[in-house]
Amino acid sequence: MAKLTVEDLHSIRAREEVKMKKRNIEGKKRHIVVAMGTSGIESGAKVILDEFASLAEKKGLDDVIITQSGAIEGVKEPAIQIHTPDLGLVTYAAVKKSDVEKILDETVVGGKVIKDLQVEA
Amino acid sequence: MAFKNYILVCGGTACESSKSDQIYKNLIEEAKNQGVADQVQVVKTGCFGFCEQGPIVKVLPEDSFYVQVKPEDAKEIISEHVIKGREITRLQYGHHVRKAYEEVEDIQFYKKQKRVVLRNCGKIDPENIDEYIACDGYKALEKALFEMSEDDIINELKIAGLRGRGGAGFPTWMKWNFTKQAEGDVKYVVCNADEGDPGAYMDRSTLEGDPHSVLEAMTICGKAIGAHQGFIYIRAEYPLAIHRLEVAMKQAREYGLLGKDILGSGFDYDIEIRLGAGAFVCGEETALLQSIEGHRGMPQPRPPFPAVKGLWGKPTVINNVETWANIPAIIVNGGAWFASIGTEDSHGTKVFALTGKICNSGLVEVPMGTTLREIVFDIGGGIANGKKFKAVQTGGPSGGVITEENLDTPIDFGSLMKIGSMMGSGGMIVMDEDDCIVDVAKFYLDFTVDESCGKCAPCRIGGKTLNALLGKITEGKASDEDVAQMRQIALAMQKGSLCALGQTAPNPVLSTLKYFPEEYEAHIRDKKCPSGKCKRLISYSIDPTKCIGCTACARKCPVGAISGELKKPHSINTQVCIKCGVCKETCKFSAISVK
Repeated sequence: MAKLTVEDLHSIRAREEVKMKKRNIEGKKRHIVVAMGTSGIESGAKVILDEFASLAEKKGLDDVIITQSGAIEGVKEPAIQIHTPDLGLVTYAAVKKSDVEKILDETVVGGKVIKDLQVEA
Repeated sequence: MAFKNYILVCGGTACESSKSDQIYKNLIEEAKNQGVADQVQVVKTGCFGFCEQGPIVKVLPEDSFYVQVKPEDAKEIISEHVIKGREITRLQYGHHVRKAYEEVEDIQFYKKQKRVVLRNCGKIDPENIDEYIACDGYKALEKALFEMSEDDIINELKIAGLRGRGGAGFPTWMKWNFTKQAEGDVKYVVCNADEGDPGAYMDRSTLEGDPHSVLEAMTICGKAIGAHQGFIYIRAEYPLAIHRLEVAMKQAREYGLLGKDILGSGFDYDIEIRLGAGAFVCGEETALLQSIEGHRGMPQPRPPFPAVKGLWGKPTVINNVETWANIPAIIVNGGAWFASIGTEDSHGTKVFALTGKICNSGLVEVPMGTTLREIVFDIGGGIANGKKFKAVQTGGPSGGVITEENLDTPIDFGSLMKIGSMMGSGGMIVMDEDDCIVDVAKFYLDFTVDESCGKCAPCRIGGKTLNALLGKITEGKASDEDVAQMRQIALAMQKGSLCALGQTAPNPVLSTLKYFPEEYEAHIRDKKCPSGKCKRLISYSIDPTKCIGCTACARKCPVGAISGELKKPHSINTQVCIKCGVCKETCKFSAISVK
């Protein structure tokens, strides 16, 4: 390994900080939960989960935390829940991969509920 | 990027001794077997502090805090949590059930804590330098090398008001400044990792969880005082800490953060490890330096202080592990930030190893000024098994007992001195009503007599005599004159001993005499041990009105001292009884009492 210069040290820090940030959950207030019970996985929830993760990263949404949960009872899967300080809890059912970007833009960032997807949980 | 779970497994000595290493391996293996190896990252971190509940496994981003995990739980963590997103309530601390979006309720143990020294413990992989760098690691070194002069560095420590965490609380900046000003081309930096207080493991955990912070701080010191070589003196019985240090030093050398021309600054600096054999006296700085030089670990008279004449007669800065670990944070965040934490007398935080008769034993870091009551009852969860609090010992064998009446004392260097104890390095042993205070004093004296190097007479002879007198008390053979003699010897040791070991050895005796005179009197005048600990002064007996003759005690007695017919009251032959107390623990009818 070559000895580091100050610039090298900075670039290592920049590279590693990105990785650490994903692990760090402190201060992240907006929460997306994807239901990953057995039936959820079967209906394709994993694809939705990965899509949320990759798009949130692409859009640089640093304070969004994406987690999994067990099944959300009584709604059509893949189902997700969004929880923000402003909106409270919102449940979306039958989410398609193509809906993910819209959900991120309108609900998570924009703070608006998408009525077509919303269900009572 | 796909979604990823991060599983942090505690890799401290306490958790590793309850198989956390196997948990770590099983998690990696299970993730592979269940086809999700790319969806999880398993990280072995330093100590989480909540050792009572170990082994600890934390899963992110869900923030699940799994406690007392077993290697066989790895399968379920992968199949249920990682794959299906179901939190495992059985393992969750307090078996708390929550909705997925709810934040974890703050665990009482962590509520009043503030982590500065342990900032990276339980967060990063100590064997991965990149993770340390990501958490502001080596930022302080860069600042010290390129943006600060030698005096700037020392001045920052002065503003911070950092005082030595090894026990005595000497201002760190003064030590550095004396050494910087001392004449000589060759100077040395030494890290005192010879942690020896019974029950204390702050330094070990810091080195295990965040070794780079100590390396970085020592390098900064080298720049500030003009030294090019550092030594870490650590006891050989800390194998994991030594291993982590070696890995860290290797990585730092590969990156050129140790060695020649660090970061292209032209500054050369390297560190070596020296292993100690575990002698308590080698925690004393002059004895430690003797030991590094290859001599017997014996203290030397001071002055000259190490800052003027230290290792191989050269000016030397010697600081404790915890002191070092504070320094990078001070340089990065500024001295004023550090000074804003704590009390006027003592800035920053202090790490304590909370042990003894306490519900939540573990490693706690609190801002200075936190009261003992908060540590024992809020963080520590109070006394185990519903017993009554008796006292807490700080400062190990050099400190004293603190009783109920002083529990609201804020913890800082000055306040603890005032009530007859001391900060010490951070051991905090809690005692309950079952502990005999004379016995406790004797325990510490036994320890210091064992560990005395024998060089000076007050410690060598005084300690032994003092211990013999305590022995007399616990055997019920002492008189009031013996106590007077004890006080005299204690004074002579305090005044005449060469090093802190002898000077402070009488402290446990004096402080217990001060706070529990009635317990000494009971031993001396009534020939009784109120806690039922001192074997010569107690006898066990069976209350015939309560005994139902179940024979349980007779079967358990290791010396066959209990006799009696089935379903008839039993009795104890006190001539044979060895007073081990097994019968009392066995009896379900509280028929056995000790007097």
